[in-house]
Amino acid sequence: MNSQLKSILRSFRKYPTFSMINLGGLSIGIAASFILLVYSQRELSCDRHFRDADRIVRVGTDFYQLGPFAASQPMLRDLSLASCKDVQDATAIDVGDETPIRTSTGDRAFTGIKPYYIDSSFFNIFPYETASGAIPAHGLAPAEAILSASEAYKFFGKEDPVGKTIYVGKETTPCRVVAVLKETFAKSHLDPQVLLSQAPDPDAGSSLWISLSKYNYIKLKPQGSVAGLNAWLDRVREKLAYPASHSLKNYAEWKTSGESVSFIVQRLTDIYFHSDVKFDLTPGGNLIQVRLLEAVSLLLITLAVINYINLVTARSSVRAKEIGLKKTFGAARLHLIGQMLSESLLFSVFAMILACGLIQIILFGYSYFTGSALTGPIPFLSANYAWLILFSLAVGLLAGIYPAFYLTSFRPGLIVRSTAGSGRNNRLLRNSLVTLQFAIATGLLFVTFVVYSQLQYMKNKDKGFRSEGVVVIDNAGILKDRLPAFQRLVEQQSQVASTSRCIRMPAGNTGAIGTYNKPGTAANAFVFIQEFPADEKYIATLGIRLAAGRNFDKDLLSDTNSLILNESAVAALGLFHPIGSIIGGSQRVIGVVRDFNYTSLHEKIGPAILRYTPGGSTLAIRLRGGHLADFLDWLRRTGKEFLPDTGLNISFLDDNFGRLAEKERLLGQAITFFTILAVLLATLGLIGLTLFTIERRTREIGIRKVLGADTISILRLMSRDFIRLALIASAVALPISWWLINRWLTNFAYRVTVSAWTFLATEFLIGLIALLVIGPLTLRALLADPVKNLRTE
Amino acid sequence: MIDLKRISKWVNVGGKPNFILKDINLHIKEGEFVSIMGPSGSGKSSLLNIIGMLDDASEGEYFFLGNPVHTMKEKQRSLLYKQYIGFVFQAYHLIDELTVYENIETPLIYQNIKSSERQAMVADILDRFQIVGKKDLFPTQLSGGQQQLVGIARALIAKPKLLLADEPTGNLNSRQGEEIMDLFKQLNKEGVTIIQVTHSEKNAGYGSHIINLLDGRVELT
Repeated sequence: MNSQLKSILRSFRKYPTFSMINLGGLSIGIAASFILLVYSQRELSCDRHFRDADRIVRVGTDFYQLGPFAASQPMLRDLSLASCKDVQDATAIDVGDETPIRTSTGDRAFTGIKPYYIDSSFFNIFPYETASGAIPAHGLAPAEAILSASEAYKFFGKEDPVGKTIYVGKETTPCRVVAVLKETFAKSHLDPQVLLSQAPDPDAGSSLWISLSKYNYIKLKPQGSVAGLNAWLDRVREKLAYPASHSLKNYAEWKTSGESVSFIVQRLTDIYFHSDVKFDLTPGGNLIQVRLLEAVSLLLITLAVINYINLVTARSSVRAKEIGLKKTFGAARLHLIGQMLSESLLFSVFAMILACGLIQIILFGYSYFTGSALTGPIPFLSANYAWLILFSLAVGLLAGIYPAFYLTSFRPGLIVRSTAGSGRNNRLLRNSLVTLQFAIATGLLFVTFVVYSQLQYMKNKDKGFRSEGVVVIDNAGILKDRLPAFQRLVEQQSQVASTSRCIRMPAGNTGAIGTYNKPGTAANAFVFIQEFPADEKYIATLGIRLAAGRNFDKDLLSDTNSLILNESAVAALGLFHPIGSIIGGSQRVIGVVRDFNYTSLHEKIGPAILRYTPGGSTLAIRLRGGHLADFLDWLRRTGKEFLPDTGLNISFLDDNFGRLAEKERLLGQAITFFTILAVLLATLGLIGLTLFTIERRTREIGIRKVLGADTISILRLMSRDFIRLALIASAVALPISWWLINRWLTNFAYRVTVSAWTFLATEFLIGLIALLVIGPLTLRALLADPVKNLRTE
Repeated sequence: MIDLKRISKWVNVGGKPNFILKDINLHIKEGEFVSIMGPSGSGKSSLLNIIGMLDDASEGEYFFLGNPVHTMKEKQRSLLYKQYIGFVFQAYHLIDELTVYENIETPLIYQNIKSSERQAMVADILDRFQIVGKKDLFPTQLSGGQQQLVGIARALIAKPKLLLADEPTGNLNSRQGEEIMDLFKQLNKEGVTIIQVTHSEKNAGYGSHIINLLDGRVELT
């Protein structure tokens, strides 16, 4: 081992460029792909760290086809504990509204916290560990609180919060902190920041099944099953929910009709990736995206390994001589292979040490450039790092195998004699490796371009209204009777063009749906239509385009029974002359607006109606532009004056749409960042390989120069092979990545079409990189004296 | 044809000039067949490289067909030797990746000769050297003598006035060597000026004129 170490260090001194490229490439590859592996493992094992995670399920509900919802009815917990034989324990989490929390009564409040109000079973099902204090054995008492580690730090800094008091809500209810949860690296769809005790629910015995207020989690008995739970829920439907609906239909009809109540059982481990339910606690993950980044991780390490192989075999003429000599002195091949392998293992250990530092740098760089953390800091000395060691050694072995066998395969006589003739036999392999590298780089670039253009598309797509320059205050309703005065004050600001009060904004959290009978069809043939209750200034404020008819008129009493449809609704209801038609019994259609996106671009625009409803609780403000910051300042200040405690919930409509595309934005960032790393790796590889090719072809360059070749013709000669390989690589990589990215694109109802330009841009960039690498290096070789090159023999 | 005036070549070793050639004056007329002889390290190859414009002299003047080579730029020089000079090397220096045919064709490509013309010229020379049957083989598939034959064919393809040969028979057995020297003699008769570097008295005997080098100086004979 000692002599190997010496030999590595010596070759470092002798070939600094080669060695730096090799070591740098390998450690970047190890670091980047390790980070992505940790990321994807963390995503894939979301919620699996809870004890008996496979026996924990969540019961959601749906009614009137409004859902499915993640939350469900408050009475489910007691009912299931009392009468379902499969249930071991159940907990109902009540997630509160945003609640101000203070550390002393006079202090500034911490805002934006949604406390979890929990019952005594919460910790039985989700056994969190504590960092300090202890979880009370029988659950939280009314004036007790538990904090997450990050909230505890926010409230109390480095002091131990246990025993201190926090003051909750406007009423500043004092609660004593009894414990702080331990921070874990593991990911969970639950995000408890402040845990408070749940007051006895007055609705616990309710028979109102078309409501939801609790997140119901159930732990099944070891012998229990999801099927058993579902059977029990079916009985609940029939014996409790159906009678409570007072429906005129019989049970069989009711069950399949739009007004039925149903339950959705999700396994805890499925929630994160397969949650397409509404009102989930945290945004779910996207399996395709995780798999995509996992693939990127594999590709990155492949690039690094290929680099290593190429660069080591590139120096084969040097190494082969050494090995040939050792062979003539009687070294056995097996011994030499062992020597080469341990060299590459040692090398990968160096790379790993470097990678440990690089991991921190890459994580820092990632959050610096993207403004979001990919995984959070990977805890040091955790199992992850044991994996890093194994991973690096595996990489070292993988990278070392081929060079070890290749270099030790030469017959000693051949090597001692000359360097010639070492080309042809492994040319196919090397060409394949370069092609693979080009293919990986091309594919990743292409995918990045497509993801990026989809993101741009989503940002810039004509949504059917002007989403830029609209400020939304979705809790304006708490101003109650002072809201009209506030609205007038806002309208007096020079930056404000118009304001509107409504119930529901595009990309908002509020939902409303109505059922309408399609004219001329059976009485039970309903069309579900999204409803947007709003005042007469909604259309102007949002910039929705009126296609026919007129807007609401606040002076016409009859307009309280008037509707404006979007084009999809007109089509869904089958109206040929929509203006003036009567739907839903007595409601008159007075206008038609163009379709507008009201939810994420994943979904197609559905039928929607605007219903004249003055006095909504959301205030939308259309700005003229100019002095935006001043206006926002003014708005916040005035909001504080009106509501010293809570303040107003101010957001931009554009940002709200952006939040709907949060997952895509994250993917875009991650894939761009790691593609840049991959291209960097491929470039390093290309540099190494060009150096190698030049080394191998120095003699040829010399001969051609002597025969009268000029610079251009030699540059063309040197880049021709690479360009050809790059083209082959594109022919392989582009169709595959096109197919893959199309699968991702089908997630979106509104998506870009991948144009020829995307292909061309990818090709152009790859070609440019190749030329930028090959050109200068070849020029350098050309400027060298041809005589010197020919004299080497 | 060739006029060398006070040509010197040195390299700096430890700050001190180490002379490879010193004060060489040489005049070679068109149609001569000159052999340069001398022990290893006497500067034979350096002299040949300077004559072939592959290397610069450190000092002195060099006139080729009346042109002052020592004042020329790389590009002009390249034009000059492309047109007038052919090289034959001891180690043949064929391009392993190209076939015999392509190797011979290469200089023509760099002289921008049309493809149809190239075909005719290469066919002629293959015929003349009786290696038509070998035209699709790669250099590594040939014996040393055959490789050198291809090397000479390549050197002659562009019809140079001057053929420079650096130990052309150094890697060949004596029978192959003799064949090559006979060929040189034949070429010389046809009017090609030849300068060869050689160790062998016998080969030097083929020439019309011998220059002896010792320690970078011309030994008078």
